[in-house]
Amino acid sequence: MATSDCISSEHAAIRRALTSDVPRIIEFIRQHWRQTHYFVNHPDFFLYHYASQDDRLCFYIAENPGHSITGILGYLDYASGEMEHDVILSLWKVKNTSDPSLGIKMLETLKRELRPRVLACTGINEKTIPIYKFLRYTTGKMTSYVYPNRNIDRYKILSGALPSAPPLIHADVNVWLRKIDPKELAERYKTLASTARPYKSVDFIRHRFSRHPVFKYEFWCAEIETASIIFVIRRIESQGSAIVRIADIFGDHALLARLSRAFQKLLDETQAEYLELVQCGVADATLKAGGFVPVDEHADLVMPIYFQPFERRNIDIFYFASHSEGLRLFLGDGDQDRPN
Amino acid sequence: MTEDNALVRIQGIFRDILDDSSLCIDRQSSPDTIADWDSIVNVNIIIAVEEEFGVKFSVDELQLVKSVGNILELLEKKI
Repeated sequence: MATSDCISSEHAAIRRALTSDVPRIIEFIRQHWRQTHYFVNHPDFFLYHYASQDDRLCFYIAENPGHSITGILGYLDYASGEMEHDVILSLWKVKNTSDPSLGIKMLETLKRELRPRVLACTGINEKTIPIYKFLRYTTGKMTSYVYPNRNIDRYKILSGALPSAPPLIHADVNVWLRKIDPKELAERYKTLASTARPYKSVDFIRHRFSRHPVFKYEFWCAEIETASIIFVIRRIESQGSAIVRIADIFGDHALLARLSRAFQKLLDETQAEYLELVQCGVADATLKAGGFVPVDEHADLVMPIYFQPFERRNIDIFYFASHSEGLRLFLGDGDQDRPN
Repeated sequence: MTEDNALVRIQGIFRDILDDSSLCIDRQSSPDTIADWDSIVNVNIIIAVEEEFGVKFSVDELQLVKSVGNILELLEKKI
């Protein structure tokens, strides 16, 4: 059995969790996060999320001298085993103890042991932003965009007045999105030159999207001249209608400005109300040129992103990142797009 | 600056952040005696102490803070 360094402090020992710790971690989540958290009733999904190649989980725990868990910190290693790898935090919670810095000690342990190039997290609590600022990290709010299906009369999920469709001055006439299988995705992905951060390995993408045990993700590709872009999408049915979530985008993001016709065709084919894009890092002008509407710029526009259960409201998703240069975050990053 | 003077100023910070104008602190005050002193409050206190006293604390120093006495000790090294 693999062992992990154990960092002791006066009140807590911090270490990588083992598979044998799963029942206690699940119980901690039940007691201190939410009784109905998805992991509580689906421990197999917890293992899908955090298992590694050995007995250790992608998870740190803090234990008091009586061996009860006082803190948890999960993470996703986007390129495990590679020299330069980026890490996204997922599920970070500490009990109120006599050590108010326990959570930061856990984070510092993770940084020291894993040495990630980029460290980031989506879905942080807005109240915790001062902590990340103190740690000298970049923080912000992801921006929500909607690409509405202009060929339907009545929206059941989207609500509020939409601006009129922009002229298709940037859209390429004969460029369409084509669905590709996971094998082609893997081959194409290796050829994409991208400076976007965080970087995901092919193995991670295969695990995260192709082999997801609950959600069915699809991969759609477009090529313009020598540039190409791949969208990871998921169709979500709700309210007797459907939307298409863009969970991730790989490749040349500049192409987003030229695909408006292709997006409309995708919506026609999937019979969806709109494309949902919650992101950080792609230029606003690029997305607007591609026909995406920034939700925040239209006062009564509501684009729900919570469907389990459905909530008719806009949701602010905050993030932090250790690096801002080249940062690209999407809703498929971290654990934002997971069953609830 | 005397310790009593620093303690009064730190007490003002605690009162502001915890929104409790009657809160009294001493060197022994800690998360064990102030129920609302959690990780977020802790960082907000340290940031406010930095601004109040014109000092900067490192992440390593932040991790040493488990009581008001620890804050005073860190301040003594910097002022």
